[in-house]
Formats: sequence, C-alpha cells, structure tokens
Amino acid sequence: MRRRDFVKSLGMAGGAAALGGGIPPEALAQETSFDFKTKHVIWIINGNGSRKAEWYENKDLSPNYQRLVNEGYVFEEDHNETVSDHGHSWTELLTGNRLQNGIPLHPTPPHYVRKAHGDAATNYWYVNGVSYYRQWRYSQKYFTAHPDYREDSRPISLTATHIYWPDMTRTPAQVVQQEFPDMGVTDAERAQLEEFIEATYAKRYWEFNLSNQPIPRDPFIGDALGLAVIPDLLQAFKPKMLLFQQVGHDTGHGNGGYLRQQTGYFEYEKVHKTTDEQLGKIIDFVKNDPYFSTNTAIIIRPEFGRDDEVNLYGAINHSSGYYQCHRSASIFWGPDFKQGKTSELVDRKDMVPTLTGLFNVKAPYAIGQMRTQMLSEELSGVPEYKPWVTG
Amino acid sequence: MRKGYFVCLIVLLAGLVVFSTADSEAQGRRGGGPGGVDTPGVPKVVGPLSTIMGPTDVVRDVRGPEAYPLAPTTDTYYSIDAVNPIMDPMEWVVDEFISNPDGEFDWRDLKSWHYVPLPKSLTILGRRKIQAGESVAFEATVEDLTGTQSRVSLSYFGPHGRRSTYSASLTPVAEGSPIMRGQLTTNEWTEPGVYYLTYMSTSNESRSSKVFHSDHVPFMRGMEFEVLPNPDADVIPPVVEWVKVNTLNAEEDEIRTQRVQEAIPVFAKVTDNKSGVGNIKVRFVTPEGKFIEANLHKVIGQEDVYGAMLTVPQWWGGGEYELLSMWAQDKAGKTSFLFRTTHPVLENAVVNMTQDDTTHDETPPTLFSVWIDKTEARLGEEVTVSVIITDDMSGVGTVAVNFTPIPSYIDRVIVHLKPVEITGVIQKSGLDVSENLWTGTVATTEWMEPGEWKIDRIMARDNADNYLDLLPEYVPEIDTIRLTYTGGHQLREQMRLNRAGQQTAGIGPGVSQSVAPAGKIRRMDMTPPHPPRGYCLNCHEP
Repeated sequence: MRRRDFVKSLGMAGGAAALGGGIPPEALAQETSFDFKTKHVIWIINGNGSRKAEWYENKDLSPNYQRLVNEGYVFEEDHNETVSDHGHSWTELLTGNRLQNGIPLHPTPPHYVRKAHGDAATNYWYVNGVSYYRQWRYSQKYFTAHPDYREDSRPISLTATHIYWPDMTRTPAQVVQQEFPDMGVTDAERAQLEEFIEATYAKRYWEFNLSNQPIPRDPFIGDALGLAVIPDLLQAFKPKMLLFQQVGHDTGHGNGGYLRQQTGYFEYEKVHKTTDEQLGKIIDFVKNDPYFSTNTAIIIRPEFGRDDEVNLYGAINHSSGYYQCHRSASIFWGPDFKQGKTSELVDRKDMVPTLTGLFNVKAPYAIGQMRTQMLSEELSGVPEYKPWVTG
Repeated sequence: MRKGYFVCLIVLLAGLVVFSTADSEAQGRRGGGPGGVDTPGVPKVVGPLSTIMGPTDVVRDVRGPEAYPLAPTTDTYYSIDAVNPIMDPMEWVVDEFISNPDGEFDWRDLKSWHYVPLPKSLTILGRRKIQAGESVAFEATVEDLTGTQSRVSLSYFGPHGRRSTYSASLTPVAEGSPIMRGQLTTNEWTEPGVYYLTYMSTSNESRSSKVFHSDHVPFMRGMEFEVLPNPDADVIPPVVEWVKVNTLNAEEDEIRTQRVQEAIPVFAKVTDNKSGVGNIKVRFVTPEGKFIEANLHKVIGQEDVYGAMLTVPQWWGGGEYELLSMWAQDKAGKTSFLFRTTHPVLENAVVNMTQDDTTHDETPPTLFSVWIDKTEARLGEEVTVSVIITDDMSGVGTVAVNFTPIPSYIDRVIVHLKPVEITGVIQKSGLDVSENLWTGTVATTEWMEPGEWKIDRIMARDNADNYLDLLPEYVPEIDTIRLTYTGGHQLREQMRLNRAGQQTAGIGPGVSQSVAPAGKIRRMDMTPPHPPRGYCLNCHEP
C-alpha cells in the first residue's frame, strides 16, 4: 500500500481532526507504507526494572520468554539512556522522547495510531495492574497533555485491581462509567464494555491457577490480574494495540519503603517466574487461536534493567552505569518478524516509532527511529536503520 | 457482595479521598475500640487495615475487614490500589496494605515511617540570575508531625533537561525549626540558560521522606533561576580514545595472561574538551559472575593517560575477565558510559587469569548458630545479636542480620556484625568459637513499631565474595528467633502536640497564605532531533 492509499483509508477522521484545529491524521502517514500481516500488537512492558539477565539470558528461569526468543527476533543491546529515575524512563519509553516535567506532553503509540486511523477507542488499550507504581496511568491526564491528542485519540486504560477483586459492589455500568471516562467511548462501545466487565468478572481471575502464584499483595496481584485479562481483551475487542505495564519488578529494591515485606531479589525473582508463566498462557492463546495466530505480534521490552549484582542487603537496584541497567533486550515475535538476533546498538527511544510504524503511522514527536532489522525478508524497501553513535 | 457491606470510592479532583462505610451493626460490633475514628462527613468506622492518614490528623478507614478479599490459599488480604494516594502526596500519606489476618486495628499500624514532612512554602532568597560558579539561596518551610524535620532537597534540570542538573540541600535554621535554608552552587563550566525545579523531597529523623512535584504543589512553580551566558560552558563528556588491559608498552591487541593474585594493569587515554577529566571508573566481570571495580588515576609523564592496578582477591577463580563497563566523567559533571558489547574501544579489554587451585575459594561461609541476648526490650534499648560463622578458606568478610516487625515489615534494622575475640571458649570439638564469633547491636528508635520482631534475612560474604543468603522462607530455623519490643512514642498524641506547637508558632496551614503567587508554569521544551538524524544532545554546544 502506498501513501496515497493509506491517506485515503484514513477516512473521516481527517475532517474531524482538521475541524478541531489539530494535526490532521494524514500528516501521520508514513512516506512509505507496507503490507504488514500484523494487525494486533501486544506489548508486554515487563517493567519497573527487569534485567535481561533473567528473562533473556537465563533460559531455565524463563522458558516462556524463550519460546518467543526461539521463534522471534531479539535486539540484544537495546540502550536505556536513563536508568535511575522511573519517571524519566517510562516517559522516554512511551513517548520516544526525553523527559518532560510533570504531565507528559507527547503522545504514545496508541495515541498516534488511533488518531491516524480514526479508530474507536476500544481498538487501543493500556492495561495496568495497579493504578500507580510509577508507571503511567489513566489518571495522569490520560497519558498525554498534548493539545493535538485529545479524547478522540486516547486509548482505553484498564486498571485490573479496580475491577477484578472479590465482592465488587459496582455494577458493570458503574465500572464502565467510572473506569473509562473521557476516552471517546461511543454508546455502542460502552455497551460492549459493560458486557465485557460482566463476563470477565464472572471468570474470577483472582483465583489464580498457577504453579508460580503471584505474591499475595499489591502490586503483584494487580500485575497478575492484568496479564490474566489479556486473552479475553483480545477476544472481545480485537484491539490493534494492547500495552501492558508491569510494575512488580521494583520489589528488587528491597525495603526501600515501597513494597515492604520480604522484598529484594528474592521477590524480584518470584515476580519474574509468575510473569513467565502467565506470558506462556498468552502465547498459548495467541498460537492456538485460529484468528490471532496469523496476525498478532508479541513484543517484550521493559523501560530499563537492574544492577549487575545483588547487593549485601539482598536488594537489586537500578543505578546509572551498570550494564544490565543500561542495556535491555527487546523481543519481537509475530508474523512479520524473522527469527534471529542482533547485537547492533538500538535505543529505547526507537520503540514508539517502531510500534507506530507497524501500522504505517509516523510518530513525529519521537526522536528515535523505526527498527527494521527484525522485519522478514518478504518486506522490501524498508528504510535503513541508521546506527546510533557510540562514544 | 457480602450482605451489609459496601464500599464507596470517591475520587476528588483536588486529591484522592477514599473512604468506606460499614453498616450500623458492624459499627456497633467493632466501633469504639482503639481503632474507632471520628471522621468528619464519614460514618464512624473502625480502621482495621490500610488506613489513610490525612494531614489534618484524620484517619479514614479504607475498607472494613470483611470487605477485604482474602487471597486464595493464603492468610493475606488483597489491597485495593485504588486507595493508594501516592499519586497525590501533598494531600495524603498512605499506610499501605498490611497483612493482619485477625483484622484488628492497632495504632501500631500508624508508623512514624509514614509521617513525612509536608512542604508548605519555598522561596528563592536573593538573585535569580547568576553567573556560572555562583550560588542560589533558598528558604523552605515544612510541617512535620514528628517534629524531626531534617532536610529539604531540591532538584533542578537545565535548559536542555537532564544534560545539566543541580541540586540544593536545605537544613533547619535551628534545631527543630520548620524553616529550612540552603543553597545550590553552580560550577564555572555550567551551561547557561533557565533551570527548572523538577522536584523537591523532604525527610525527617524518623526516616520518612517523600518526593513532591509541582503538579501537585503549586508553590513549587515559578522557582526558576537563570545562569547568564557563559563562554566556558562544558556540556560534552570526556572521550575515551583507547583502553588497555595490559602494560603501557604491550602490543596494542595483545591479550594479557597472568595469575589471579597478580594485579591487573588497566590504562586508558581519556580526553576532555574543556573542564578536564574528573573521574574514570572501570568494572570487570569474571566467569564466576563476580565484579571488581577500580578508579583510574592520572599517569605521571603520560599525556591524557590514566591507569590503575586492580588487585584481584587471591581466592578468585581464573578465566577471561572482561572489562564490562566504563564511566568517564569530566569536572563539569558530564559522563560517558561505555559498554564492551557495543563500544569498539573496549573490544580487547580482557585479561586471561589463571587460578591457583590451592587458594580458589568457591564456598560461601557456613552459619552455625545465631541468637539474641534478650527476647524482650523497650524500643531504643540495645539488643545484641550474635552469630557463630566460619569460612573454609578466605575467611568471613561481612555479616549482616536484618530484623523487622511482623506482620507489617515496615521498619527494618540491618545489623552489621563485627568479629569479637574471646578466649578459652570451645563450643564443640573442632570449632573454636573464639575465632568465629560475630556480634552486633540491634539499634531501634522510639519511633519504630512496638510488638514482635523477627529476623528476615542473614547475609554473609567471605573474602572471596561468595555469598550466604539465608531467608526464613528457605531456612525456617531462623524464623524462630523472635524479639518483643515495648514502649516507643505515642505517635498520635505526639502528632497532636506537634501540630498544636507548630500552629502556635505560626507554622502550619496558615503559612501557605504568605506564599508568593504561583508563577507561570514553564516546562522543558524537547530537544532537537537526535543521532543519527542530527547532532546529539550530548554532543553539541549550547
């Protein structure tokens, strides 16, 4: 598909946005567009600091991550410019740009793609386990305060522990009204969301049936609930983008005062094991589903890693200068990605243009570039990835 | 839904306010006890767990015990993060979820740990436009319910964001004073332009601290200062031109082989464009997964060459030691980070080490016993913890024993033990206790939590960096050591007294009236495009 076709496909959204005085959707069309098989992207942000030492380099500890590695493409040297501050790093990961003070200014991948395609809100999801453990969440001005990316470009933001716990007293209608405000949800979507809440609540996600049960307190329960809901979200809404923000890994800090109890590497490893097992269930779902198995990509990429070594107190922090902190890996698994790996230096700021690029959409406020190394050979004419400068 | 209970969550725009109600029967059954709380506008309820502490001495129950969902197959309750007011730290300080299966509320659950000093005002004293090398002075007032406010830290970002950062540390003008003063001092290479306050943090002597952002704290806005044009500005970090893990006269690509107990020579040529090279650090990783670091120092008689001789413990194993990462910082504070995996300059930065099998130590220390000298004490009273620990070869290097109250795990005391020499004591055949006894003091404060404490971790390291990590989950024996603390501050009463005292002194809510109007909110603009499309933020002059 060429640019002209793509621009035509943007449909009514262009007019609506132009009337609003903002950036028109066609301005977000890539110069060259590609016929990707990928129609759905699940980005598991196994975040708040998780090391590739566990989820990529330790095969025994990560059997399900390894399934993606074996069939997908791995960037082994994925650079994180900042690693000590969660806010800076989440911002850079989700906007492809550097820190803005306070409220984020720049759009995130779902904002770009929804605006460009003029889609319904339920095509785009942020799934959080809990409402705030330093990640981005619904209540922070809907992820971006950019004036061109208002309600009609916002993704749905679902916080699992707001919904999935025993003895919930709210009706599905109340849940939808309270949890998904100001996201441009239509009446039809609202009705569908209510059905979804009712149906998924009945599944009692909190009764985990895992070999590696989540640590029984928040945010770990929340993380696990968020991962558990993903297959149902896919089935119900067939979203183009689903970003899951995990936060429990930060228990590696030990008793820094946030997560309490038996924290440190001991719990960090537990979080990792639970995540790996739940990731396996998501992979199983995608692979076994006749529809999603041919058109769904799973991407793994945290915002940064953690220190090279556990300290004397059993804690594993995230500090500037450590290799495992600054150099994450990223895994791309899906119909448009070949099998392989590269040690070429890439950057966290690439993630936004790479994700939007899979939908032939530009990310003008991201200062990274679309990665193309992982794309299968069938796609010709992909732009060259220009190496980052190493000092 | 359980009959008779419902939970109502209301999120207000100005802050997160969450409360729950219980039916009158439940109130009658549970109300009026030590946890009974009079909350204006909210039915009187018992606060069993997960209480929220408001700045006005009001405790609000989040959810009654019956409404707490119990995690399957555990004795632990779920918490509902919807009530987590970390998101608005100005208004609320949260007591996070505490596992307490009996559902009883105790004032012990209100920890000093949670009483963070709240900032009430911030002012720049004197000039806001300065030359590079000059200082900016600040005054802040805080309200601390414990009366132990100790520090306010301010963090500033420069005109290009985190490329140039500064911080200021403010301390009380007099002991116990809520007025804090301090300054931020720039250096002569400071990048010119406007600097923005990104956050402030407060802390007190009771180990509480919190970060505050201007989005929640209006008086933090308008706190910019400006560094006037500076021809000496240095924003470019040092350049590492070459690195040798070898002697200076060795061939360029020669990989050195040596014995473990011999020092490893490391040299690097590092240049800086303006302020000069400050600190250089190298970090090696061994095949055993051990790390060793060293700072490089200027080599006399060699231009721009820095070096060090790394001493490797004689007990380490052999193999290829890789220079995994390297930091080079100039005197202006700009740092280059290099990693062997992607920086060609480190490609040959390895050394082959041959081990001495007779001294190679792979075995962590062995713990024989651990005990405390009393099982009951008052908070603040010293308790001695002792261990008998041995190591097969390199010797015990460090021993740390962690104590924590249960079930909250909120406070934590890490005791670093020291070896103690005693004579003439033989515990059993083959083990001379006099050489293997380590002791330390469990030092608590009166702000900590009374009640039952236990050991939740013992970590010991031998001189070969082999770690022994004992957790109660894996070693149930250490879980049997319990210590009951009594005494401590009556926090609620202390809180009232402090508040009354601060109001009498004119500090507290009224102070905010004297705060200057919030200035225009200015945010950092984003930087121009970045490599490979253009000049790097870290590579071009302002």
